Amino acid sequence: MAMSLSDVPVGFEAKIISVPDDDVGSRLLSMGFVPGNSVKVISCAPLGDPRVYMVMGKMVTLRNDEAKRILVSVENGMEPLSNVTDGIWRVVHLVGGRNFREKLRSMGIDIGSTVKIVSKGVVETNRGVFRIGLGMARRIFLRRDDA
Amino acid sequence: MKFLLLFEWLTAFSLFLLMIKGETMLAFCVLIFSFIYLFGLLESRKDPQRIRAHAMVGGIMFFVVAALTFLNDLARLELKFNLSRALLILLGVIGLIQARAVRKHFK
Amino acid sequence: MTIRVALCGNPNVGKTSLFNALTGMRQYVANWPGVTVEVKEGVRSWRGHQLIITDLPGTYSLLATSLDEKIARDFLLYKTPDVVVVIADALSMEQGLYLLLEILELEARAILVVNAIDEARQKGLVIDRQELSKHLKVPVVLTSALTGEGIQDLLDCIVSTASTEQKRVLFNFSDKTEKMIQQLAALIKAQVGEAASRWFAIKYLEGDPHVVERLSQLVLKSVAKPGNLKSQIARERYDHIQLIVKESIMAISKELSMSEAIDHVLTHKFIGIPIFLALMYLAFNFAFETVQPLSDFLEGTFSHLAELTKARLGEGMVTSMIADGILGGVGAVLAFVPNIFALFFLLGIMEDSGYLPRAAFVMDRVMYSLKLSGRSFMSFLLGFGCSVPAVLSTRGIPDVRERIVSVLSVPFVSCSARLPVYLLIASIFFSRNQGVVVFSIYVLSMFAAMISSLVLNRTLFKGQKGIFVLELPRYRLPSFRNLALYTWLRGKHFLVKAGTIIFISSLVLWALMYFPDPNDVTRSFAAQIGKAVSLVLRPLKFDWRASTALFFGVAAKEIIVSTFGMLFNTQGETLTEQLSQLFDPVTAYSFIVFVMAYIPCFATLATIKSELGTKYAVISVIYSFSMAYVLALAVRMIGGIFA
Repeated sequence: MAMSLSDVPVGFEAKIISVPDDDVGSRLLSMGFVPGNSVKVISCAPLGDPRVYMVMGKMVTLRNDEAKRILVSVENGMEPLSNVTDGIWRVVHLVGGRNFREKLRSMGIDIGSTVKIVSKGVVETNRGVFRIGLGMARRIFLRRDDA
Repeated sequence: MKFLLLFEWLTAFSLFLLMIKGETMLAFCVLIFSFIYLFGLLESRKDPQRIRAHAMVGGIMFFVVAALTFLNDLARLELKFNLSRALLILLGVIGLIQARAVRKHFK
Repeated sequence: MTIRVALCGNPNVGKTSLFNALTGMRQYVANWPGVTVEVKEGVRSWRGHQLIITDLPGTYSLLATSLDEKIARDFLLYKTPDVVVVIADALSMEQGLYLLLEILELEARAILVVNAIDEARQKGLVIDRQELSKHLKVPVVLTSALTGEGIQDLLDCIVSTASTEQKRVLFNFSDKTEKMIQQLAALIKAQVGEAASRWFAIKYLEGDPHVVERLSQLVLKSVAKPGNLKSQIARERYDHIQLIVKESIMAISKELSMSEAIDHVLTHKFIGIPIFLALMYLAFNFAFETVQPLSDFLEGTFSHLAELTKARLGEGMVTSMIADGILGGVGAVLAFVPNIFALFFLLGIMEDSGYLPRAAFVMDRVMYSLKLSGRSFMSFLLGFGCSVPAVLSTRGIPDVRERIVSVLSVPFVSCSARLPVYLLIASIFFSRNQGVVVFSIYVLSMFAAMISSLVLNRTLFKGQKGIFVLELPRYRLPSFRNLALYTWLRGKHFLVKAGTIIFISSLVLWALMYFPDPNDVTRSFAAQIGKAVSLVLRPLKFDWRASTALFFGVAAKEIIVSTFGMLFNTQGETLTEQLSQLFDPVTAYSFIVFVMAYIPCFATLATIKSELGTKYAVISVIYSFSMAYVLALAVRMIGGIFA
């Protein structure tokens, strides 16, 4: 499912689905941000914005305002929690500092743990059922648990 | 590697303390650059490339600050040879050698 | 035979160093009307041919979405150079090849140059020249601008290509796209008889604003809407390119590269910004402190010369003109030279090594709230030293809008020449808390610069939104040759363009002071102008003496102090006493606020004129004067409440 490039965590690769249909988009296309290409998030600036992307062998910086308008899908079937509405998933990546992780751990969400998504934003873990806000849900990455 | 970084950081930090009275701004530059070494120490041991990265960039920075300070003294025709200058130049020279040596580890 | 050559390529592929390698010192900044983007031209004779080489701005495509792209495209489209040299980076050729495919649509005689071949070889990358040439159907030359490898091959290739027949080497899109292009092209040809109809058709489908506008009268909507195939076309071109690259380049190894390692530290989460600030301080210190003795020496020499002339020739108009006017003027220009050259030298190092885009990247978030990018932060910082180099350092800001905003706002940042005025006034009226007053002015000056850039963005450039895309090139050791050339060319540009204006204006100022009565400054033309100006400044309660001092201050802000000395015909203690009767504390504070913000000095204005043209110099005068007026008036009114 589609998400914004600005939500893809550092170190991950994503496939571009679409770029905005205006001047900014034309510029992005010519720089290699072409639908179908993959783009890797290399690092982010000390203040979180802009971030560096690797696209077609070049390192290019984009502001989050622009990256927000590029739709991508994360590779290997990974999804942010905000995109998921049901099923059993495994947590593979968390974007955030120690506090964020602590808070999630208290809800039974940690890297490697399995969670059941009841409906959009509602998660059942071994500690109970929790409602998770959109801001946080964007920073939790899941992969469908096949086992 | 980490031992060298620790040694350099201690030297740089004491240099900062030495200079803070006389040349505050320059001392803060030294302090900031010493943090490059410090953060190199905090880097995980499993990632030697990153530790080397800190050693290399820190080395270059100390070389830059030493060279510019030397030029500045030269321009005012007042070469100083006190302890802090000697330490700074020492750090700069070591930094340059270190940067050149570490460089080979990178593609 | 004269061969006109255009150099095209993405930014940061080493275009400028290749241009330097091709032309050496025989180059100049082309003066293109209405263009603020720097375009350089150079001449080279080679095997009996005269090559005129134009270095076009770095672009990613020929879609005219930015000024750079438009300049490059118009040049290729309307001035049709004999040979177009497209430069691609050996380590990431894709974007360069994309540009090449676009240029080939123009049916130009193109050569592909794969630059930085030495670096590619170091990384174990093998580029198959024949294979590339076979697929692209254009000659390919491998070069390294750094080592000079392949430059002669390139020159030979230019000469031999120029004499070949113009041939059509077009990239064929997929059947569906191709059909649409041909349909459109036929329509365009039938209705306007445009020669490059295929090119227009493609650009139309890509949604190029200029082409769409130009073709707006034609009936094309039945075939396709403008911009219909924007991403389709890009996709097909890149698919083709990836195929070529796969065939002609042998694998890259993947380890933490040198650049990634350096980036890890220099854009570090915690120490990235402190490192930038420390480096800026060092640069600042070098440009304004280290070379200061040289400036002082030059200034001293000239005032010494002036005294010598006076002693030799005795008093008189000619003597005064030579000593105070000409020698003073030359001295004023030369005093800038060490700072400017030192600054350009450091900027050159930062640009060449690849740190400059990182600095912009690190600081971007801070400036984004002011609708500027991280690149202009440095110019504002330099403004604390002197506005002239600060304005000069805006060169290289890729976005024209941002550059103009920065140039107009930078003079508000309080430069070191204004400090003597603050100190004089503060010591007289605020002797108890001098430090606080001076510091408050500095803080105020930063706010003024920020407010100014916000205001300009909201008014002058309302609704325009620039996209901030930076490429982070690989770090490399700056080559001394390039550095020297960079410093010399930019320094020379300043000396010639701004230097003459500074020189002439100091002569004019001398005349205004000298006539009609050299012995009584209070009767001079300058004082009369001051009296006229004081009518405007009356609401601020500045009398004619303050106004005259301000008028002289336009020459250089520190002159305000000496002008007071001349006007009261005294110095030291008595001057202090006289001045203390001139103002009340509120007026005194509004006076220094006014000095902080009002008209930039001649040197700065001359620089603005040489960088952006007369129009913006005039705008700067009016704009800063009104800003100063408003600020000083605000101080008056707020002070009036409390006093």
